[in-house]
Amino acid sequence: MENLCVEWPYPVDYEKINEIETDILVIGGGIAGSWAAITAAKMGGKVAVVEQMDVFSAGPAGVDHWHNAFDNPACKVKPDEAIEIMERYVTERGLPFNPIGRYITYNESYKTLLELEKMGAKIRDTEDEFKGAPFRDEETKLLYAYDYDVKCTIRVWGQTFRQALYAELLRLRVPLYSRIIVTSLLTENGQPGRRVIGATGVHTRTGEFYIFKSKATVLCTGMFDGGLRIFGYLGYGFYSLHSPSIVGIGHAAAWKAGAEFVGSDARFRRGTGHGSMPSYATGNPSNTWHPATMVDANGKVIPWIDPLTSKMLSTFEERVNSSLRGYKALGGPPSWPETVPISHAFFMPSVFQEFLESLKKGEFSLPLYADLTEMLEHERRVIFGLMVAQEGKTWIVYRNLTQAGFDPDKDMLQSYFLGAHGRHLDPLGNLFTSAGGGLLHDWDFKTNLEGLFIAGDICFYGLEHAGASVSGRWAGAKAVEYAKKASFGKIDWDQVERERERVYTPTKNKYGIDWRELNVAICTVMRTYINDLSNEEMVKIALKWLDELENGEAKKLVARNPHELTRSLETLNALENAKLTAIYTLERMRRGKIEGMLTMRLKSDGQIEFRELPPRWWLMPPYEPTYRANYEKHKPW
Amino acid sequence: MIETKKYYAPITPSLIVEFDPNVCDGCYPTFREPLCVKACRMDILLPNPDRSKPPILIYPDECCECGCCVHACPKSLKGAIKMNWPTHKQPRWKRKTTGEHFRVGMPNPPPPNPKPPAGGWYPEVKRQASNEC
Repeated sequence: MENLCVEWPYPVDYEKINEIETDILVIGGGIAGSWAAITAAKMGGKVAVVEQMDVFSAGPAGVDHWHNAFDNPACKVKPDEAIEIMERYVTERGLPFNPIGRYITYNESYKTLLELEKMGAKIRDTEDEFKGAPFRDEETKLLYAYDYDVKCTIRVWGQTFRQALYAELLRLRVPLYSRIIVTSLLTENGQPGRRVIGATGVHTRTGEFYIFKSKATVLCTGMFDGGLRIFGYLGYGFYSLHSPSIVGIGHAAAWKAGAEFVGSDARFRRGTGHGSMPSYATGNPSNTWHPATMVDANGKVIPWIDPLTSKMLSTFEERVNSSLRGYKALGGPPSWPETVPISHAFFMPSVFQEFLESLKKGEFSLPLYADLTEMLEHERRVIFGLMVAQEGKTWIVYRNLTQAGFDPDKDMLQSYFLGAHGRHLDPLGNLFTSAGGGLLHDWDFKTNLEGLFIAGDICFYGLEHAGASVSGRWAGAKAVEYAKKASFGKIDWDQVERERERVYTPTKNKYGIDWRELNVAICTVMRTYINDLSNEEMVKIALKWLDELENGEAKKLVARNPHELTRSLETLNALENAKLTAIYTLERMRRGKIEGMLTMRLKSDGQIEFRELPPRWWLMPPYEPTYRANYEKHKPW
Repeated sequence: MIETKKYYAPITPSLIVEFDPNVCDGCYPTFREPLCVKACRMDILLPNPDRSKPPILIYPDECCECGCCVHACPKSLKGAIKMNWPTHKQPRWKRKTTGEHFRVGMPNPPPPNPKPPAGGWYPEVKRQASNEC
């Protein structure tokens, strides 16, 4: 047995119940959760964090570019212009977005970054390595990305961010409950739709049960990736930049508590070239490696194009300077579409969208490579030596590639993409993901449930790293205000007992299936029946199958230790989320085109209620009629 | 005397996380928990019963290849721990002047590129590695 198994090193007790009381409970200790807890603690709130991993390395945690810094002094586009352009862009294309989260981020992004710097994070080229580079501000030593004219995105040393936040949480003595997976939200009377008064969880190493009682709760559990997750090395489709626990822990708990969801349909977006290869180790030109020169097998350069004019760009400078692409009046009032400022946050140039057609005609030859060798030294260095190396979660990419002998001065990294946001070289890299649906929130980042605030990627249509930080700060402050006036709720012990019965079932089963089998089954149902070819009948079949899984195989999971129990609970969450994705998708199909946003929630009688919000609901009563007025009215400081 | 039930975890052969037992000391006695174990987002590293020895890898298929274990290791640059991408996920590249093809993990690899990242492997930051909670 010596080489076949290892004795579990932690004491296990599935019967033990721990009760913890805190005014503000932050669920999820990633970027948004850390900011929420730090802000609440600084404002005098009694706050605690519960996190499935260790807060030490929780959340997506890496970041290479700080987005949406329209409030930085060098930026040529102001927040009010930015939101106008953004809204117009997405409305014309029928794309979803989170106007509240975005506008607040546009106004708070840079201020938040400076706060982070005070905590010890590195955001400036203090070594002067990039002195004289066109993307560097010589006075502030900030390095800008993507559009060197507009300057709304800042290149950063992201690996220091997680550490700085962790250090700040320790300095503020915020209690951190690491390695506890939250399984449900507690509500008054145990009913959906009532005030949220706490949460339950299971320790991932000891299996002990936890009951958290709180006056206010901030849910920061990230996104749900659409039920498509299969683990990396035996399967495919999971890529490591996202938090491994993006199985919708918060989504499932909030759904059962009656929170209102929006945008939960499958979006049918194709995988963006990460696929089964390590993220950012393959020269993806649309993000971190932007604007790397891409060449084909014979060294022929693949042209870059402007996204709005479709003009082919002949020089490198045109890729990074919107003024050279004919965009006028930067910083002035935009008159669509002639004076659109270009930035990564909006529309950066991309490698030839019609690449695939050209390939079929024989104009290019596979495979493709990211060729940094011909680029200027500082451009090459800033992509590989900073964006990749210092991002945090891709630190290992730089480490492993350089240890294996890769040298961007001489070598071209093979790329697996086949056109921007297009197909992947490995067919298995082409996957559909969710629309980024999440919980509806108001200008306070409060949900429809009393006592429940949210921040980060659980917000409808998500928020990126800067947005997670900004919304975390905002929601943390609002939770303090709320908790001051609120009292602890009365726990419904029937709800607690029902939850204990549910979560420990896999530990009681002796015979049955491993969570992996159920996980793959859920993913297969989602990919097969909910895709760009599906119709109502297909989605109904998916729902029937998911129901059968829930009442059949899901009850047969076997967990031999707390680790397997944790994975089983994640898989049950994925099943819950897959179901709500299918239910929402079906309703969207039935309704056809709608003008505003469709929301969905579970009522106390067990029925599902759908609601159509009118276009621009965020500027209608009870809210103020302009973005600025709402921002000023709700601003917590 | 109350008999305590023992629990186990299966071990699968894998090099996805590889320790050098001559360098790794399990962070003993500096840290209560080896820092790779603390950092592991999937919780697939267990502390060795002999705390001065390298941690034990379980469930290697769950590794998300984030490299947090290597990043957190106080002896990472001395080779105490490596995260090896599984064989089918090894990135490839081509040398422009010679046309030679390479991959991570190939036999007879070229010498390492010694250039550190811009700002160094570990830029100065308030590093906190203790177990205070």
